Amino acid sequence: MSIGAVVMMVIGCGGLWGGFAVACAVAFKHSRKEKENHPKS
Amino acid sequence: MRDQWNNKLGFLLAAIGSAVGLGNIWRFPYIAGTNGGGAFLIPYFFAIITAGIPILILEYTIGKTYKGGSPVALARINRKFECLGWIQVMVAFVILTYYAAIVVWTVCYLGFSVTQSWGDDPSGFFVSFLGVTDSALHLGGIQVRLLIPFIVIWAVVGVVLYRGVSRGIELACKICLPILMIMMLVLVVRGITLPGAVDGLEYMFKPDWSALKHASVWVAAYGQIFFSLSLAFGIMVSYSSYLPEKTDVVNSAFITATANHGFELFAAIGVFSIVGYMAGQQGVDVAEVAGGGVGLAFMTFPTAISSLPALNGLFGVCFFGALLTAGITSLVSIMQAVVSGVHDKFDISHSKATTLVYVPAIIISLLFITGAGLNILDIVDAFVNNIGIVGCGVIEIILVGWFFPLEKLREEANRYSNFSIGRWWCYALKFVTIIVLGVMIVLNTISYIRDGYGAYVVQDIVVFGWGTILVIVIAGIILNFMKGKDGYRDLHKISHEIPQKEEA
Repeated sequence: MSIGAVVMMVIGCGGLWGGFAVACAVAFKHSRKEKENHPKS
Repeated sequence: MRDQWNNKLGFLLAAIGSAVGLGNIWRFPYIAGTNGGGAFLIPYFFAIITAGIPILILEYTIGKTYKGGSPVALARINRKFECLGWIQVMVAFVILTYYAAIVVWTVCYLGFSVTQSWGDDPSGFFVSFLGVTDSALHLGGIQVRLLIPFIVIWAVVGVVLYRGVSRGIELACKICLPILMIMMLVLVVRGITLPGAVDGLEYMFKPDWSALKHASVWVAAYGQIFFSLSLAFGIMVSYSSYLPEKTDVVNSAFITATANHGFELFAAIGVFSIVGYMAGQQGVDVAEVAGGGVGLAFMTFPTAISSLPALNGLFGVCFFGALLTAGITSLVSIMQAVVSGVHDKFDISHSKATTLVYVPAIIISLLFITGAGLNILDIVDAFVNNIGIVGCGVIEIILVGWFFPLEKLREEANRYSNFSIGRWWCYALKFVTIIVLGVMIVLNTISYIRDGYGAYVVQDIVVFGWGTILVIVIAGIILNFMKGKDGYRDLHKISHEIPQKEEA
């Protein structure tokens, strides 16, 4: 497999799944903060 | 009373389940491979940022803020916009009827894959199994062998839909999505360990930078993003209308989009590894066997499954099982878009609204399991996607972007969001998306008028292509003028009906 193809595959998967991981981490952090601020809700 | 998602995770799984459909598995790899390979990822990422995520945020915000299926939500923005909502719902209804038929074929092939019943000629087997006639107008009768899977699929959809959003769709997606991921993981792992897989991946990812100079590649990227995310035919507006008020929509759109596109790229690795292996076995170039759509799933893949060195049955079950789970979650979302449109406007219960959609959908869907089903489906799918959905998308964004203060929707989107979106969102929608979708609809229309579609004769195209578009528009106009429940366009009059559940 050519280097160009490997690089584009890594960029594609890394970009999308990396973006997904960051968005989930932000949502998780936000939800934990909400629970700490409003423990009963 | 309107239902509500149990929590944000339930909503996200349902939205991802809707977006991840058959197109992710059989459309994306071929589109990428034939539009610059790895270089296609540049316009693809650009389209995700400038169109996919912005439209998703727009539809989530409209649904969550105006609490209704597409027609009612748009009517609450401006009562003149309701007609567009009904046209979107009718587009969803038509897609529902033929999408079910594809899922029916998938169920049959799930069984066939255990023993590879298609024999040495999967293409011929597919054509004879469906009893394909020579013309879309030559129906050839209902294929009796498809009736039992047809009943099973519609029964499953019925059970899920009658149970409602939280107890039906949410539960179905919580079951189906993990199964889909496991099956896809098996496919990818097996695919990349096959000899010749590298050739398939090379075909798929080798960048051809010169392709970026062609406008058609950019239009293909926007088209892929647009169709893949189930945008502009009411699904995302409908799903987000069942969200509690204090729910983030901006980050939810990022999660949905990245999960959907991440999945399709992952699936593409599996698909092209196997196509590469098959090309190696046949001693031909990958480009010769690479394809997309129905042909890839029901002709190319069975050939590849039969040529595997071991565990052919397991591999076939994983492939068609993945298609089936992806298809079911998308199918229920398409039907829910129609059900919520009917339920929110007319003074009827959820069960009644479901029946009003369910029964006609089953009857019309029978058309797609006749001998002419494959040809009719091909024409209807092309016209509904390339004219219907793209047309709805461009009109939706023009109406909301230019005839409504988009800034107000941006404030609504940011109100409870994990992070805020800036003014770039408005510019992306008002300029980039409208221009690209506008170009798409113009090019598609010119192409269909001038060249027709595929090898079909004019009568077939007029009846099932342009005829379907005409029926959608007329039905949308009629539904728009039908009398709804009192004050359905007034958000405050129905707000007391929305139960206030705790946000997750």
